[in-house]
Amino acid sequence: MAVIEVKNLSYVYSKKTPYEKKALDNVSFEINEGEFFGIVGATGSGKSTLISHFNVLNKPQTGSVKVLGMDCSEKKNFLAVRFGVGMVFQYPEYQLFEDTVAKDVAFGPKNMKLPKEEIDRRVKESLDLVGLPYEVYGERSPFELSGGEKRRAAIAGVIAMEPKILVLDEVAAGLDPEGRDEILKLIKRLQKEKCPTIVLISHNMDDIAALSDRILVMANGKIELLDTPKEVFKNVKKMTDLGLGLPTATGMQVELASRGVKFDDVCVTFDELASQIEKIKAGGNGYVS
Amino acid sequence: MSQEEVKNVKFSYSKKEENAVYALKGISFVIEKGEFVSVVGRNGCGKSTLAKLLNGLFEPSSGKVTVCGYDTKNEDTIFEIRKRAGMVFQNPDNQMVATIVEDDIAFGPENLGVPPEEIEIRVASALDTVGMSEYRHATASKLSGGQKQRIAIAGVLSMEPEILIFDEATSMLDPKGRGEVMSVAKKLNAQGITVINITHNMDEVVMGDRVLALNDGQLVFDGTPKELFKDVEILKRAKLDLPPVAKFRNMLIERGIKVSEDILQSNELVEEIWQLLK
Repeated sequence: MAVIEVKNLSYVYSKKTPYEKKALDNVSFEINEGEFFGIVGATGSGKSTLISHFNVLNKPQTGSVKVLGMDCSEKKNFLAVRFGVGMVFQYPEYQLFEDTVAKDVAFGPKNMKLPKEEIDRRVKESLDLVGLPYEVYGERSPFELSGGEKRRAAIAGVIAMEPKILVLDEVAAGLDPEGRDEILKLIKRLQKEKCPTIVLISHNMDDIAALSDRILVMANGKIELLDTPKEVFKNVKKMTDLGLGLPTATGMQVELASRGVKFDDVCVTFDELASQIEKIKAGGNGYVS
Repeated sequence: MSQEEVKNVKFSYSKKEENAVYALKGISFVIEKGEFVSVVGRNGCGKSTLAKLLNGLFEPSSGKVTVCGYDTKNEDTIFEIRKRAGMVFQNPDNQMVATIVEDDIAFGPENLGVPPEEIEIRVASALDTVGMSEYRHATASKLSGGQKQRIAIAGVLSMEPEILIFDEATSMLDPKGRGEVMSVAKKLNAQGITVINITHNMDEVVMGDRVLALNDGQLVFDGTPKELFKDVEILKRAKLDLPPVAKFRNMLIERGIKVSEDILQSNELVEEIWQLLK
């Protein structure tokens, strides 16, 4: 079942001025329930404009966007759509503002006018889920947390609204390796336990390849590719020309292939590539000098 | 010749002795002219504090920082330091001062009182170095992230610095932008400019000659990238990660595929795998 349906969507910034810019150009696709959906594209390719439609920060100018069956052009749906789609923007820690972590996380549910007990339950649950136990972190100032912790606190604030779809824009950027690992693990866990549909924007092809069921590749406001990681990264030249590059494993596979190693299949993770190399070394299929 | 001397430096954001929390707890090292040094460590380890000490934006609470022979505590010579040690920050949007690219680049030398004809030459040469000459009259805000960072670098270059300090300058860029900025850094380093690159990206670390690792305000490692990525103990302590290629190398070794244990570059690993397979 499709939870997001985008049909013939176009979007122009600064319409009828000398700065007019077409950010989206006749884009159509669907995201299914339970899908881990990756979006990649160079800076300025239209990714952010696109996801801003998912909770009606941008209203469709031409074409249509339906979220959870609700038309995003109809004003009566705006609130329900916004509660249904949790957005975690780049550097979400800059959006922390309350004097305690618990209050910050409670901000969303409060706006949903939920009863106090329900808000408390959600705050506790969300903080526990992101690995900032309420008892330890609840009463601390968000500004005393480390970079990775702040980001997780910001994510907790979004999860507390219990959205059906979670949209994450460059969620690991600027974090140290440990923080990255924690966030990526958290996202997988969230998908399992809390929010089955995840949309992830990233510049990191290794992460995108390892996590996504399907990847949408954008360039100049248009869809270039939409397929599984293997099918997307088969387009070696296109991905390189678009300035996006390949997962490290695919890049090495391409190098080996250019020297004459024949592989059964495209590898997008190190695990896959190691297995293929193992097989070829053991004299299995595939290898031709 | 030493360009940056950091001696027993402690730094606290609070001036009052009683509530001092030290972001740096006594650090010493020397950086020589022409080095490409990476600085790594987890969020909050003191990397950015250190960067700001290296061109006198901050003064050490105790200890001494000397840049090209000038003490950063001496207010009379602070401009000598700022001129010689330029910084490029994380967010390209926060460092543009003018709307047009060439004005932005001219801002630094104008403030140094460089004559207009000389500024003209410097702007042209800086744009050429970063490969942005055709954007000279472009609107700065309309550029891509990688282009903006290259303009920021050009702005620093127009002051003819001896040292370039990058404070996570690639972390907000797409892969192409990151590649552009790092290749400019490499090129400038080859021309003799000292590069200090603060980063979380282990692939960038592999590009340098030397790496300093900080943990909790202390220097826990000072050596080559090869040595660092062999030192499992330090990697753990400073919460550092292996570069992707090194992770793959270890995975292969675990599976009994014999490749060298210290490979960090993708082309070297490809070569060894090829030797094993052919």
